[in-house]
Amino acid sequence: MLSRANSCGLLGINGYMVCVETDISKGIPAFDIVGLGDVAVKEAKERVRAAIRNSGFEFPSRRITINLAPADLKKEGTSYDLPIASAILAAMGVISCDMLSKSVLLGELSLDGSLRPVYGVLPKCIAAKEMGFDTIFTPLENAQEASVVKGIKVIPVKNLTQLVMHFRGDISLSHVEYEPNNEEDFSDEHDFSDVKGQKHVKRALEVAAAGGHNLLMIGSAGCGKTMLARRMPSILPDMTFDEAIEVTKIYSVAGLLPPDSSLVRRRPFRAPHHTISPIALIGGGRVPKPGEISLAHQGVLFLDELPEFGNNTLEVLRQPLEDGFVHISRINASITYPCNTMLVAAANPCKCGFYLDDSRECTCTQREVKNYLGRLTGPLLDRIDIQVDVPSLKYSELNSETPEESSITIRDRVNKAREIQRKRFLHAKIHCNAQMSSPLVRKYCHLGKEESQLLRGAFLSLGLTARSHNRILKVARTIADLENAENINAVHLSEAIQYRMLDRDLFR
Amino acid sequence: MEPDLKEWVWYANLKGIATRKKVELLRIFDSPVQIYNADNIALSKTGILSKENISAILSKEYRDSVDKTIEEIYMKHIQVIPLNSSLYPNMLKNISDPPICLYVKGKLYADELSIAVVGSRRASGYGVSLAKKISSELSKFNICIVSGMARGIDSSAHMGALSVNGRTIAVLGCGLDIVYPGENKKLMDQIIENGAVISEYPPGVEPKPHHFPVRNRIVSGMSVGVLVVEAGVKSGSLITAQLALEQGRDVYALPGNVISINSQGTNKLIQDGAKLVLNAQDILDELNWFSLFDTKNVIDLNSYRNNRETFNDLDRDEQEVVELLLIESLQIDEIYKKLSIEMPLLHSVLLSLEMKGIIKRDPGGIYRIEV
Repeated sequence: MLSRANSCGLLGINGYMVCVETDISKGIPAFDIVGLGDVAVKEAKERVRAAIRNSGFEFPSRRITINLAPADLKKEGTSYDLPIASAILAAMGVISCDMLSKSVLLGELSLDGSLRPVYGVLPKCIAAKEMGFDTIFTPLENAQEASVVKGIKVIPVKNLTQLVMHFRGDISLSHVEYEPNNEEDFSDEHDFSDVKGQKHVKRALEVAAAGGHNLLMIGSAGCGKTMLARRMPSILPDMTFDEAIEVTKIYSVAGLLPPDSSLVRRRPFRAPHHTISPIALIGGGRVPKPGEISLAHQGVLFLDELPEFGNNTLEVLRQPLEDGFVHISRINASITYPCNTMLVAAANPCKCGFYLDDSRECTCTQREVKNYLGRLTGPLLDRIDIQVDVPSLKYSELNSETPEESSITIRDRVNKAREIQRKRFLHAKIHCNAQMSSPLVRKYCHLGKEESQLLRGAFLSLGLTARSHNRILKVARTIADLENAENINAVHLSEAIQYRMLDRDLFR
Repeated sequence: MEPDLKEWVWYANLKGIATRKKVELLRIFDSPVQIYNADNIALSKTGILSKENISAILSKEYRDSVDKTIEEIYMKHIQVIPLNSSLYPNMLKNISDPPICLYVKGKLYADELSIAVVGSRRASGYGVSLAKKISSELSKFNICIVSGMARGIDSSAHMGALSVNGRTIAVLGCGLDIVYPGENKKLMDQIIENGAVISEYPPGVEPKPHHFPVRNRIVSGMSVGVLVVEAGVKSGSLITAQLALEQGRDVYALPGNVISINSQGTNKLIQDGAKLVLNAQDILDELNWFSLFDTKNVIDLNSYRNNRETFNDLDRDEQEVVELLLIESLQIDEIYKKLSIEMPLLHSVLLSLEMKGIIKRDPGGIYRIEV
């Protein structure tokens, strides 16, 4: 007897259809799974056998061959358990083959026949919908995640018996609808109102959030760089639905979605430690998994103590930051992960951390001071639009009672600026000002006569480098958007120029 | 090549004999050629040389290595000026321990009015700016600026002189074929072009910590006076000031903030009797330069922008910021708190002032009035 069940595999963050073909024939009893499955797939036969028996069905003592088609793509993971078991039951005539052909099955089987959650459900569900399937069966815990996809019925299943009864018409399982978790708590224990003073840094962070610009903070140890960066997520603009789908796909593939969660609604904030390896940062592995930079897609990648990161680690960041995607090639697969990430970095001015601090004396030699930030010069710094000093606070400021602006107020302004950008880039496949290419900069960052003169003057008198030209224009565009201004004026431009401090020979 | 150059270089290279003793020996023997040819008896008859000294003079090792030094001097286009040369700076000749030979790149004159401008390597923006300003103003009066080409104040002094195409001399603590500190390569080339780089060490000698205090006696010895711009309590510039006093040179010091580490040394110098200097004019006064020239027509030496009339052409916001900064240097946040200017506008006011050259942003985002 031959039967077919449908399931999905993963290639990067995209799903593809896998047909689980089952043949049960006479011969010496055997159970083989072919189609380039990994160990988890091979071991499915033990789980499937036990689950079928323990669910009260007979397991055929005949020659069983399972083929996972297309048979030339590597399959991994445990989500093929359910389709394999269903296909065997169909081949035995317990359920009808017709029912199986219209639906897609995902799920790991426990030995008692109940279903366990699997990863990558969202991209697989999208693939199933695109291939025209109208129903997908998933473990209970993954149903919310799958329900995000419109146009396909998502039916949660508790165990194998339940599924068989549903297919035989004994019971009718109901599908779930997407329930946007509107009450999701966006308020955070980290709020900008906790940070005293540092008004200009907050302003720089606001500009960065509004335009998606990369940002570097330099200041002596203990001046509050990390504290400020931790509050970054609280002012990031809301995610659009499409952005949320992209982020959820990445988290689903990486297996980082908590059970029963649907869409990731908050922009991710990733803060890897500086001992991270290059591979962990950009992604990789035998079968490539997304790295921190992709996990921060549409969100913030925060690198604290930037100069302490390995040279290699910083070098591999350059190209993904520019392109917005990482292409990883391994012997098993060649995969592209998106990484439209906003880089927020913090650095001490020197090894001991007190170079610019007047309260404590720096113990570094001049050469050490130079070498420390010197590690950052060049191509990486080119990609950081906003560079800002964070001075250490005086005690009187720490204790001041003046109320500080809360994150919600700032986020409102950021959201408005993003809305302007969304309309501007409706037809240009990008989301924010930071992603503008040179032609777009020419189109949207037009300068008047006075402004052009200001920029020329600044280049001559402040020693700015040519490569900072477009960066300044993009930041100026964001500042103008924050004020809802049509054109960039001199004040906008001046502020953007002020954010290029490392270009201005400060550490020489 | 002068006929006895080889003997001069040999004599200068001898180790283990103090420079002072070498000078004394030269008075007895007239020239290094005679010392080179002297035997054990003649040398011991002088009564000032120890056994080790004599064996160094007679040793074959120094005699053999001198040819290599001479060859290197030629290859690297270095000029040697021995103590008896007509090009040897007169001021330096008269100190108690003048270098036996000076290695020179660039042009050296025997009679040149020089002022040494020295200071801390870890200079503040204040020190750097004033070192540049005062050096450039002195240069305009054809005064040569002598310094040590170290980081911080020394480099700024050279740059100040170069900025008005004035003459400047750098005295190094290593051979002239070595650039130390390395980042000053370009500066060194410019100094050679517009003045001279000199050293008492033959090519190939690495910079060693003990070379620098010894080098400092040349810096002060060549000059009529030494201006200490910024110095900490343990700064090498204070050694230079001490040597200058011993050599009978004037010591000038620039006052600074009492709290600042960089001004503790200079303020102490003033307390101990060094001449307090506010601008280049104070130094010129001390030199009686005014009797020679009518300086008033050349430049206005009192041109610090610390009176309000200078700022009449600025707009209101700019004036407010400048008035704040005249009292003390501030970070942008502190300015913001004291004035009622919104942050975006404040950025533009600060940039505009900086581009006009009125204020300067130091590392750490501290704004101060540019002198």
